Amino acid sequence: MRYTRRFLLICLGCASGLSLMPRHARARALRATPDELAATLHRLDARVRGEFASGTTVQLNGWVLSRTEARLCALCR
Amino acid sequence: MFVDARKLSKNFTIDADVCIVGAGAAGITLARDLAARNRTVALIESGGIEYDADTQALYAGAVVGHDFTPLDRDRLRFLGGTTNHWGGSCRRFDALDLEGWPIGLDALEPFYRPAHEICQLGPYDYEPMDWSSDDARPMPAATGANLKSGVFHYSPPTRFGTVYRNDLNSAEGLSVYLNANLIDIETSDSADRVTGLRLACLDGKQFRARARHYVLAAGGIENVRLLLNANRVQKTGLGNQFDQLGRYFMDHPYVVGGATVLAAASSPEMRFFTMRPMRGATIAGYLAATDEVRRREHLPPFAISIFTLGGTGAEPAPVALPPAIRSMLSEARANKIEYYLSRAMAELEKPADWLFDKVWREPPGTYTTLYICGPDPDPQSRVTLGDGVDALGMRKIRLDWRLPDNFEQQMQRAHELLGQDLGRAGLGRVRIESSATGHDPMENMNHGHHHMGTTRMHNDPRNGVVDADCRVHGIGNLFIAGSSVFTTYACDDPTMTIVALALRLSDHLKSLDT
Repeated sequence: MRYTRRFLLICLGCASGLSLMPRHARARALRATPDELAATLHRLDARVRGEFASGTTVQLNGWVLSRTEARLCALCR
Repeated sequence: MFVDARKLSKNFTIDADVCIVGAGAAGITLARDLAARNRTVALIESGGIEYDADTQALYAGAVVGHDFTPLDRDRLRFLGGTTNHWGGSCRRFDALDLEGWPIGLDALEPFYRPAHEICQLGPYDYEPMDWSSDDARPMPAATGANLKSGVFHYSPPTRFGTVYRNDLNSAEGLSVYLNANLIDIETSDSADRVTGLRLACLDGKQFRARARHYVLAAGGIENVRLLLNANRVQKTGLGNQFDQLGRYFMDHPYVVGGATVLAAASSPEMRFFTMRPMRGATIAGYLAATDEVRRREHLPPFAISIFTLGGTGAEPAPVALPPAIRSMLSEARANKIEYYLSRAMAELEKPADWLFDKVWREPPGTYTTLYICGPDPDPQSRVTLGDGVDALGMRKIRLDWRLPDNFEQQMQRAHELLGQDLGRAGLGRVRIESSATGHDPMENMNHGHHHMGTTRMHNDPRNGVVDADCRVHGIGNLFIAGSSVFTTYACDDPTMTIVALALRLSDHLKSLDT
């Protein structure tokens, strides 16, 4: 369940998950207000959904993840 | 009226306009409809009103291909046939399901509505949005989505031999001969017409039947056995001049646990798959590939249902399969699956709990899938005569059921498409189970007990056994009813389409008399 747990962490918008973002966005996110964090997660969600819609998915330990989710998983390792 | 053939005088001859062999869904439907059109009908049934072990043993045969239920347990041989233990799932074929057939949906559609009533179903409505409610709704249809929603209707299920027994007994011109077994089909010297049937009881008594039209409605395996055994004139069996008889045998393989789904426990989209009463019907949702995806990906017709494993706490809850699923499985298999599901939940629930509590803000729901499909027709998947004879001296059957080598890959691809659609809709995530994840779903593979394709419908006798009117190629007055005429198999219980085809055949037989 290693990948799964990391995937779940990412869905929470953890610090590691934010590491994919541009530096200035990450910096801002780390000091994020609730609104900023919500907006960040909203963008992440839109990107992930878009990848699912276009079939840009990979499988990790059987889980069907969007490419962005998988990359975040890799960065969590 | 009912006639116990054991009480007929020796060498008795039955005379009727139409003689139908087999009193299952097809035979009973056809007999009732023809009798209502003022035809005299003889309905020949091997069994009696109730189950009898000696009669049931006539189904015995050898299985040499893919694992299959013993042939003398897979079907039922008494009044009502296999409807005596069917599950009741019904669905109308769509246009793509009929691709490859010599008839289209327009030819079947007029008969589906009355078939719906005969199967005691609710409103004739297969539009998924019409079966939406506050707590159960289909996944949102999105442009470019891989899958589309559909609904199965559930019959009570109709036990044809019980529900229509009074009709059979009272219909003018209709006689049902019980305990009567077809042992030979007599033909003209050129085998272009059937001239009579030889029948026998298990006690050895023999008699005959004569009619203008003959219909075999004995099931997807037995129809073949009867034709192959009738080899006095055509040495390879009646209707088998091009070695098509018995080929393309197919059942619906299904797998429970092909994927694990994490989604909100109270998700209306997940509840859509739950069997539930609504508007005087009992229905359940499913997902199938869109026509575009089926064509693009060369996938077989399939349906995926999603059902909850129960329990949402951090500790795995006891798992019990839904009754409908459990009834499809042997006790040993059901227990095994429940054990497996419990283990899967133990592994999944804790992180899932955490995720859903934080992100979806409600307890998690853990679900599994049921995948059922109709693989492409395979001429090597076939029924032939085997060794040995039954109590009536008829040669037994040999079944070689084959599945495509890429069956599991196609199932995994179907679940991948499901994962993409659930991710796109933000409804959840899918884990495709395999031997690599430690939960090999192929261990849970079973089959639907639907025997199809062995006398397939095709305009060309080199590619099929019956024509578009269900008439055996080359034989003017011999017809076949039932799922053995299916050219392809769709992905669901064939009963309602069997009934619709029987009604269509009734129309055709009537037209021959005018």
